[in-house]
Amino acid sequence: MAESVDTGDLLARAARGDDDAWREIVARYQRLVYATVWGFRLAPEDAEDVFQETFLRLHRHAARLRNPAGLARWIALTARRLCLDHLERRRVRGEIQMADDYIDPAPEASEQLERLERAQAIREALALLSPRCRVLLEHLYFRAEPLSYRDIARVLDMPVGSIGPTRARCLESLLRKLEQAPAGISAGDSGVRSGSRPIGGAP
Amino acid sequence: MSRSAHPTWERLLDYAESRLSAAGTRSVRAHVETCDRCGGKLRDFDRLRDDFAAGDAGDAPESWLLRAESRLPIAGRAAGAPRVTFDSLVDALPGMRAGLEGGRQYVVEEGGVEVEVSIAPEGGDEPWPVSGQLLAEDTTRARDLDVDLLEDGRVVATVRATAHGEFLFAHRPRGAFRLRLRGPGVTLETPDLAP
Repeated sequence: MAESVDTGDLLARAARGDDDAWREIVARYQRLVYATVWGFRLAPEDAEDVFQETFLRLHRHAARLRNPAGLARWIALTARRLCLDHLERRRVRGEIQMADDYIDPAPEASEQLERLERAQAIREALALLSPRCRVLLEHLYFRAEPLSYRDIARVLDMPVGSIGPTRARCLESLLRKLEQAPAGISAGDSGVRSGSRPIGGAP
Repeated sequence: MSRSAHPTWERLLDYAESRLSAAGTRSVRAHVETCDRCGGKLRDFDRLRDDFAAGDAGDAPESWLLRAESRLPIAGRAAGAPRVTFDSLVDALPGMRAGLEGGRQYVVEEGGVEVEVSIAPEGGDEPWPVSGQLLAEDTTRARDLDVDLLEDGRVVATVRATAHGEFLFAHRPRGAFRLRLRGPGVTLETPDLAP
């Protein structure tokens, strides 16, 4: 994954049908889509359906997305709407029970969306660090099971005593990159449908 | 520790990770409790980890990634005509493989409009062997939508889709069939679909 490629350039290349750009987009955003879908606790086959469909929708809309900084939100929103559509279709078919007056809890949805976006921003900032810094921070802070200093020293072939200072520098660099990251999306590209049950097609 | 002697970032991190001695911990804690700057840095650090943990579920399964890449239409493919963008026999999603379940699912796309078509397994108790839904950005396109089921070019059944674009056929096609969607917002005829 060529993580340092600007999102705008990536989208433009993707919109022109560049296969490599699409592969990079899938690699870059797969965790975002996966985390979004994961939150809905769909059956595995439904979850994969939504996962695939999200990228197909992105492909269809790539040429029209005007705000690269909002791409993560667009993707998360699309995956989210597809999940809700999936649940709605299953409810209509009687496969699952859901109250008729079920209302999408928009405030919670908005918070979850922010968390997803924030995690994506962290992933993208991590990708901009040197490989050594990235691996170090991922192993220390961004994995379900962090490694010990000793294990990290082995993985990175560095003295245990260097990990502390290196970690501090890398983390500082990560925080700087996060501060420099483009602001989120403009209102026009967003649109969490609040207070109503999203039905039908996603973006 | 006085306000003027802020602990280094590295020492703050050691404190946050409980890597300091008891005396070191007490010293940094006493400073942090009265220093907005250092307290803020620690809160930022905690938030960074919390945000990531709350918004990440790890990597998607490798098979999903491979399928996602293989299914993305690339430049140069014919556009405009209705085309099958998903076929459960080809894409082999769990639970929809013909060999396992006997059912089949399609997605047909034309000009930004998609139709999902599901064919129930033969011999099951599904009262509607063929069902589906219009998947359009503009949900008003599903209004007044009639769907014909054609065999050998002849209409054998017609149903009115729901306001959500869903349609159900009690008729089971003998072999290949087509669906024709007719409404103020949509006109589309699928390629041949087979159970």
